[in-house]
Amino acid sequence: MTTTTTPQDGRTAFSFWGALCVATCARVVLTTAVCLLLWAAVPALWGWSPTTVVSGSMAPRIVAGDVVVAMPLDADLLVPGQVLLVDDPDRPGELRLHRLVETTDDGLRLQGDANASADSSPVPVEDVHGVGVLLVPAVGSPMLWHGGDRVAGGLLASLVVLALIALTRLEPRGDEEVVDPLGPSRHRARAPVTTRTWAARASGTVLAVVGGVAVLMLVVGSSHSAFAGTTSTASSLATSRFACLDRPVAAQAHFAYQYNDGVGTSLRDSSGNGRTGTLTQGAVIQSGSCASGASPWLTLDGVTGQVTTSERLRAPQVFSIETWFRTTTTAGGKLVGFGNSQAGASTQYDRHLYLTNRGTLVFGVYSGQQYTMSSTASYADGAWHLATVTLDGSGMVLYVDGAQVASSPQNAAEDFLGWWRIGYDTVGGVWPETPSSPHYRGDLENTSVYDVALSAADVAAHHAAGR
Amino acid sequence: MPTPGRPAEKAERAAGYSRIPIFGDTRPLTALATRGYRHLIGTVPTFASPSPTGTIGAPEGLPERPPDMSRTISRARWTRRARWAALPVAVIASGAIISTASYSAFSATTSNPTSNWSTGTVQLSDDDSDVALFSASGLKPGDTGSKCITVTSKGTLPSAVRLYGTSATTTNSLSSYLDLRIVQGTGGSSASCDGFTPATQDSQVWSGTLADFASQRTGYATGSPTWSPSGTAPESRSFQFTYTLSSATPNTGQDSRAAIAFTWEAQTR
Repeated sequence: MTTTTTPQDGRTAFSFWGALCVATCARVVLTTAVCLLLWAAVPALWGWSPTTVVSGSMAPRIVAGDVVVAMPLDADLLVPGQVLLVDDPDRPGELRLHRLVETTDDGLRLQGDANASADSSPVPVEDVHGVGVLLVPAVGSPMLWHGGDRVAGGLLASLVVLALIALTRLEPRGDEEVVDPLGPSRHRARAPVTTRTWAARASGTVLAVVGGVAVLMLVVGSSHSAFAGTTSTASSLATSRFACLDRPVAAQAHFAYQYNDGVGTSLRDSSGNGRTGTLTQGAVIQSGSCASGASPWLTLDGVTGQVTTSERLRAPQVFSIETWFRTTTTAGGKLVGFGNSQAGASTQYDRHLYLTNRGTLVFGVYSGQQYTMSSTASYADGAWHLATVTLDGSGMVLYVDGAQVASSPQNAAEDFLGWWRIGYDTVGGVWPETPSSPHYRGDLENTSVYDVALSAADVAAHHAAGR
Repeated sequence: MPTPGRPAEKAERAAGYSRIPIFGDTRPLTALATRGYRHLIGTVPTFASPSPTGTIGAPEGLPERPPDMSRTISRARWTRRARWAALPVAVIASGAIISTASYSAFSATTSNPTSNWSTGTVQLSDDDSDVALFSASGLKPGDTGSKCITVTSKGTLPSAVRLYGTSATTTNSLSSYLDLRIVQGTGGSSASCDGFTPATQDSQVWSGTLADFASQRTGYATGSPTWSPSGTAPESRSFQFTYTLSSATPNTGQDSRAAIAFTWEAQTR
């Protein structure tokens, strides 16, 4: 075509082709956008999930503003490398689009392409919405404009669309098309456009565009594909023995079990002599703390529970036995004794303190015959009591709760090798008021054996100090 | 685009006019002559020969055209062609765009991409030099200790940092008796808490037992919110951790150990 102008022509050739070019470009852009949106939105009709990516952690292949269409897929078809749309494990109610790295027992490990490491939170398989199959670039951008304000974004998108539509109106028509009164109708004059019909048509177009954009924005949701970074610091806190649980122990102690141990069956010897004891089945330390009056204690079940000692020794001729006890048993039982068996029923035994079925205390030694001393009162009353026995050359004394309750001039006991026994051993029928159970059922606390005979003042002081 | 079915067109069809709308009339003139276009022959430019070819015996009785009629009609044709060409171009373009982008993004062969893209990142670091925050042993009931650590966000995107525990272990339920208080603020470092100043608001990140922290703050979703770096410049926060072994810790808490890794995670907002 020439660029000469003719007065009869409504336009110059330049303006005609320019306008045609602009209008056509606008039409192509508009139609392409519509096609892209159809690609993005139509799969929603059969259950695929279109979502707009709102952040860049999948860059550079998927960037913010892209729309990804995810197709539901069976869990066993998921393979690493696929881009999955999942419920965001870190943001309830939101979606995340990341690439599958591996499948673990905890769930799926995903990672953003632009993230240095995999996401910290695994994703349960049932939270997978689908596998990305279609990527529609940039059409979701309006949703991100203005800081994700969808109303603003939608209005802006509508404005752009309307502007494009207006550009298509630049297309030559009107005067050129009406000059051929004989041509097909398209070439003929249309009815004159009045202001009113123009306004109605324009407002209809505006409404249609805005509504269409709004609907599309509703159909196409958004998914968060988060960038993440972490840093971590380790810490470890450990305890050893709590010294605050321990009571002072006299220097002459042979061993002292305060039942303050932690978890396990080993009993620490608080005397420092290292004569560790062992808890058997049925012997349980009851929890306590360093708080006043909350010291832990030992409970024996009266069936199998006892404390065994590790040291086999020649039975001493000077000693003291001291233990707190609390029980309501009516079957008696041995509190502390010395026997020739470490854990079973001894055939040779004496130096034993036992409870009768009535709850009275008996202490006896064997030296050719049985020598015993007994309390008159019963102590199986459910309260803590301190029982103390001493034996030396001057005889033997039984104290309860720091006060002497019985004594005997007998100053020697059987000479044999054996173990100190706590909570259980034989009590033969020859001993007075033999208990019906050799096993003691009840509580024990601070059981000690001393290599000296404690004085009455010591005994009273120990009782005053409490358990 | 013209809307089909307008009354004028119906009338046109009734009058025997037919159209090939997309590319205009490219049929030979003889064809046109047989289809009722006789009155146009001689003035209509065809696609093959767009210039006028002269008058071929216009029938008597029809009005003469103005001389510019041919150019006008030619322009109308071009307009129509351009209008219709937009659709196939758009369909092909959109298909090409989508298939290219989708292949690039979703093809399994593109798995395991490198992560050195610098489109915008979130980075966190701390100043502990890989030394444990706490490494206390021989704790007794009532014992307490305090350590500080500074966490720095160097990301270029706005993010939200949360604190949670990982790899939590404990023996004999020791962690149930360890009270933990985490305060955020400024100043102090992993070397010393000197100069640590709690934030004026939302300074308390956690107050409770270590066991509860370990069981409740298990990941980003459940982590304790700390602060939200803007991403414009590196931002640091100091955290003061204070532990106390409860004075009510039972004897069963002896010879026990509790370990946990405190993890800060930043995710884009």
